[in-house]
Amino acid sequence: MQPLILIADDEKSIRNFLKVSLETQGYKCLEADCGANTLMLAASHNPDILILDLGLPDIDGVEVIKKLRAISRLPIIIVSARGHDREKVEALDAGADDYLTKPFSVPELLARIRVILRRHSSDPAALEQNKSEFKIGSLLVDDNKRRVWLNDDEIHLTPNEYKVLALLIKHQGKVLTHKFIIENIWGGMLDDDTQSLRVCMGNLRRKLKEDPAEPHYIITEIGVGYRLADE
Amino acid sequence: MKKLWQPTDSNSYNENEVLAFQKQCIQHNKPQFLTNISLLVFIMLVCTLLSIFLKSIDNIESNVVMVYLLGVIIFSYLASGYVYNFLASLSGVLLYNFFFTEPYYTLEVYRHDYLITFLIMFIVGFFTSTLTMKIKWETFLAEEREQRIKALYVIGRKLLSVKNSAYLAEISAQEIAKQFSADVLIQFFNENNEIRNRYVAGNDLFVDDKERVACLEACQSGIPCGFGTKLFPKTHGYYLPIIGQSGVLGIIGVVFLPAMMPTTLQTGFLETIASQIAAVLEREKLYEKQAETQVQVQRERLRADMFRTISHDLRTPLTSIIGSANTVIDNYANISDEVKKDFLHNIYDDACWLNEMVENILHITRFDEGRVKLNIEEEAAEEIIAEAIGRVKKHAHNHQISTNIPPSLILLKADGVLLTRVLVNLLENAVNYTPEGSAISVSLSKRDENVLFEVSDNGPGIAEENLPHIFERFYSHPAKTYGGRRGTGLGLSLCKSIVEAHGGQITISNTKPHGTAVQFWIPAKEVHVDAALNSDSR
Repeated sequence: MQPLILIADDEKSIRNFLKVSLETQGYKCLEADCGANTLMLAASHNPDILILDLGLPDIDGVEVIKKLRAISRLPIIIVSARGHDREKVEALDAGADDYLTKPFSVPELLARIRVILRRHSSDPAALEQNKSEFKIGSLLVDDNKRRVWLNDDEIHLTPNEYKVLALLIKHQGKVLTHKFIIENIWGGMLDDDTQSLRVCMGNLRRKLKEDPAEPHYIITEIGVGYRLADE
Repeated sequence: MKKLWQPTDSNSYNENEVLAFQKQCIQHNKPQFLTNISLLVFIMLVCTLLSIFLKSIDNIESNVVMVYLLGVIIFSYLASGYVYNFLASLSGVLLYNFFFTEPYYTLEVYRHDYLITFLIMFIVGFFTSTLTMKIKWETFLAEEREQRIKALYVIGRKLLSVKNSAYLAEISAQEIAKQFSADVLIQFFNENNEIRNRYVAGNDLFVDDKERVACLEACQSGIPCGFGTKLFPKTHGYYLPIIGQSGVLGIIGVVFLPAMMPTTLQTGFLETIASQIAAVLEREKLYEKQAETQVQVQRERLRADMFRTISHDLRTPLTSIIGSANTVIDNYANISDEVKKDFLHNIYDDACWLNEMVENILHITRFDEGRVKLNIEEEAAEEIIAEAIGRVKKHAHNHQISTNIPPSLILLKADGVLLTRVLVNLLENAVNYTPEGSAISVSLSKRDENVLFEVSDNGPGIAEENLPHIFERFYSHPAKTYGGRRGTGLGLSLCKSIVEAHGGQITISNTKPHGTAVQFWIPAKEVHVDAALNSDSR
């Protein structure tokens, strides 16, 4: 079955080119030009993905996400204008899955859609299997034994470093905000202090022998958070 | 109350004031009172002994009277005060009566004409001593006045050379404190009656509620309040508003030491200083207004320049986009797919270029309007570099970008998004102005408390004569980019604004054997951004 994608943007030209690009990739598309329509279509058609522009004319984008999250786990990719970083982080914390900054390229959007579809379509059995062992590039993680290998050499991570890596793996391809990671790893003890997180990330990157010019595993999203590379 | 200091007025003084002064001396200086009484006893004793000696020589009574009068005058010169004059005259008469009129060693008199002598002696004693006292007082006043005039002259000259209001408050408070050996508060207000500058010379006795109320009253009513006035006389401080053409500009608060009523001399002195301060403040205000207008004019001109340049720069790629799209639409059936694709690529490239430019313009206008609020957070420098490289790499497949990052993590307090923009602009320049295949290197290091970034390439470098202007807005490298496009002259200027807003510095130089290196540093710790921003908002 073709995945159904709901495009919510008030600009007709943007909806048009998105629709054409997505349909050529074999997705089915629905269009909404305002927040009310988006909510209605999302409820009635149960799409597989929502591409949501944060600047809809009637309802604030973050509000749309909150309303949707109350009733469904529909994956949401938000699209925001550059310079609205705070809004972006707010939307991610409200439950959006990924974000793109305008103007974005279509291949980038398609890549994000593929990641989300793969994550959400994988059946529970496959997930269970993935859980114990995980491989990306030359990185191998055994979650049962809590051991990590890089190019067949075992690398030793501190408990927190391992927890961060495991969290990134669990949400592979998804952007995790600083707040989300801190809450999951340190609990409420760290508040908004991101320094420990940055130090932890710095160490993790070094242990994974990441090249800053071409990171293979951990991708930094300045002002937002981190994601684990997917493709 | 006198409005201004009037030197012609110097011969008159307020009798009540002298009285008040005397009274205070007695009331507040018990030890001094005792000293004066013992001095009186001593002088009278000396006079009596001298008189006994004189009388034993030639028995002329008039000498004795003269000796006592002399004693009274000497005493009144040393201890000023009507009470003292009275006491001295009286004791002189009594002693003369006791020791030198018959019957000796009693206060009785046989000859009634002596009563006249006593009376005259007392009156002469009291009168001359009072005159002596007044002469002394006048000398004192004249000296004080001279000192004040001198001080006023010195202060006036100092105030003229003052450059800003904070310094003005400091200087005037210190000078007044020096004059009165008192604790002095100077406060200036802005248009919204908020405290703009505050300076206290000596102890800050001006903070409790009572003092504040008096101070506020003085500001609002525009008349002196506090100690020594009718309004709030229970406070320690005397508060004098500084009044300019546009109302109350500030306030002078003085706590006199010891707690003496301020004399008209002192208040007059303060008023003169207040009016001088007001003049300086008004002058400064005018100067500020003028400077502001100038900045405004310059900003308007810059803005006009910017619009002109931007419209020109925008029109070039737009012409190309419109032309390409139009050609494809009009000749859709007649041109091959290959050509169509080529046109679409052109449109795509031009649009990307426009997008970069618009982003820079947006940042720059925000800087110009002073609307930039740095979103300072603790960032890892290497993450910023990674993000910038990631963004540039998408369309720089034919350049080799390498990094040189130290093993230890470098954290800095900065606006990550803006700093990424700096690096993106520098990397874009490096990509655009070097031939394909060139190597670009980004390095990071920490020196003392500064984080140093460097973007260098091994391209042809920049002509030396262009280097000094490279950070100027709209100054575009005369050489074309390797993509055949002209630069906008905005990128580096924005980089400079951002780096300086963070309290850092950016420099550019050519490297050996060939290439360009741009270095910038930013303090690792958070900086106060206001000052840095102001320097930029031309």
